[in-house]
Amino acid sequence: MGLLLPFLVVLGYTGSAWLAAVPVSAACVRLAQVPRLVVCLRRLRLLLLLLGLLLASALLSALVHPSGQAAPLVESLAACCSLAVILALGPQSELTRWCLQVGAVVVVLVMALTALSDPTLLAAKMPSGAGRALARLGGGVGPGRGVLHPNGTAAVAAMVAAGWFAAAVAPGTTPRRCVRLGVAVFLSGLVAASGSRGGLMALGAGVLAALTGRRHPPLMGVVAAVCLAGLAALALAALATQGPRDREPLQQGSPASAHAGLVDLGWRTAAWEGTAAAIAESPWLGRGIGSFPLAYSPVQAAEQPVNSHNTFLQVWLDLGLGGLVAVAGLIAQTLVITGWRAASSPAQLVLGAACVASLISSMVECVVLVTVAAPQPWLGTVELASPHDFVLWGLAAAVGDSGEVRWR
Amino acid sequence: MRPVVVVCLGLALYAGAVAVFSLADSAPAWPPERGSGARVVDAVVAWAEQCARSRSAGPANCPQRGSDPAGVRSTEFRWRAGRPLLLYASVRWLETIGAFEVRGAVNMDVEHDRVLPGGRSVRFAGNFETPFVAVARRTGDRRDFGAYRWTDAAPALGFAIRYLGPWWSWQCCATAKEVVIP
Repeated sequence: MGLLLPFLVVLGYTGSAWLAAVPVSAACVRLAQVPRLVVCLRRLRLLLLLLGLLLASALLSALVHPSGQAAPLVESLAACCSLAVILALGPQSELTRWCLQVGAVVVVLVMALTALSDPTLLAAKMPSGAGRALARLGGGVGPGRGVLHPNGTAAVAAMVAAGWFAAAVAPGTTPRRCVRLGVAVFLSGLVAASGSRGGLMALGAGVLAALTGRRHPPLMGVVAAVCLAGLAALALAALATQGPRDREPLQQGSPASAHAGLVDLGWRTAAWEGTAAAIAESPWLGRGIGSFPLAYSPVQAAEQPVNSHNTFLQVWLDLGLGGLVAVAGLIAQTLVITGWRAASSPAQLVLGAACVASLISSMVECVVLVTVAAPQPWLGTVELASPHDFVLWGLAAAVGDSGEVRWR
Repeated sequence: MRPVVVVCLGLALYAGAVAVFSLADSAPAWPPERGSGARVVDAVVAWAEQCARSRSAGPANCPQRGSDPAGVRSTEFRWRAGRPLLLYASVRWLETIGAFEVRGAVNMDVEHDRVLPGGRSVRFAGNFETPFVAVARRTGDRRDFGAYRWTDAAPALGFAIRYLGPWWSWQCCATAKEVVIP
């Protein structure tokens, strides 16, 4: 089943509602195969309720605020929700291990594609000019410019790296733990090479959560809260230290220094401000899918960002309050479940650390609904649901191991 | 619950959602209002004139930006309409978002006082030409534009104009002339 899953999800991205029905059907068939369905539905009731709320919000938003961009998002969202349900019905340990392995391969591939699609941008973002050779080799802007941005790629890489790190600190044989640590260090290197400050912050939070969760699993939620508070304090500091010149937008490829990071965070707070002003006009139902380019209220420091650079604000703008409640609920549920069960299950420790990393990325990037660069963004920006968070939410709700186990 | 019921229920839900979605016209189109196209260029000229009266480095919803990396203090950028102000403009109605797309270029003169370390001011004058893309709708057009309603548009001659880019900037003061402050 594992090998079939990626192909099932891809059908949600083909732009055909009938092909997107295949993953939905697969989830239904999988549900039908469960021996004690009522018990299973009772176990998954919160996950199913929140996924249903997310889908219903997307559908309602598409009906109330029609747009040409609604169909691709709703279809990819249906495929991602189906994936979460299928994973929630499987064996947690086995699927988590499989997802970590697939995740590592996907990160390497996507990072390579990011480098090929815009080598100049990646090279400019790399710390200490380490990417000059890459820029020379790449020879300039490639065909996929802007579709894969190093920041978005680093968000996924940080999540997977945090998961591998948690797998390395979880109980297991020493050689296997060393291999896992090696993979984690390699993926962390990719995050650092991308020059994404948000990715590095997310990775740090994930590693901290793994180390804390190893001894005191319930404290993983506290780590998430502390990291969020730290990020909020940094954002306030960025706002406070900004002079009028710093309020000007940063150029792409700004050097990876601490001051540039603070200015960049100030730019993001300005983008959040403009998005919040857009949401204020319709806080219940949002402004519609693909509404960002025209609904965004331009702020001098961030006049026309490609998206809100915050998952929660983007979901609220696109899908309304229902979508926001659903995403926040799914993240909170994952953190609570993993914090509760991580003492007895290494898979939950992995999922908890990955969830904390993903949560921190969510604050500075759009990771649930990703924006695909369009040649004419004023015709509405193409947005798609990204599956990696759905994988976490599904796996966290899956049937865990009983008792203390060592990971093979 | 029998398995076949679960499968049928799930698929029926999905098919229902797809059907409702299709009936509600998920890819809408808004036809142009009759006779409104001819006045768009006049409105764009009026909008560009408003922008050219600004004294800000980056006036909201306008095509011009100014920056001075060497100045130690932020000072005004006094913009003035060039001759001609609008170099060219092409207009077309976009059915998919229900608005006129205006592509063109503007020409403005600019004056800026650079404050040097020590407090001395040097005045520079230059010229700034930039292409622009903006969208425009008649303010009286009360149709529901779904996800494409916009925020913070500039009113000009009965149209609401929303600037979309690009974000070119006049950087003081490599190509500017130094002017004696009277």
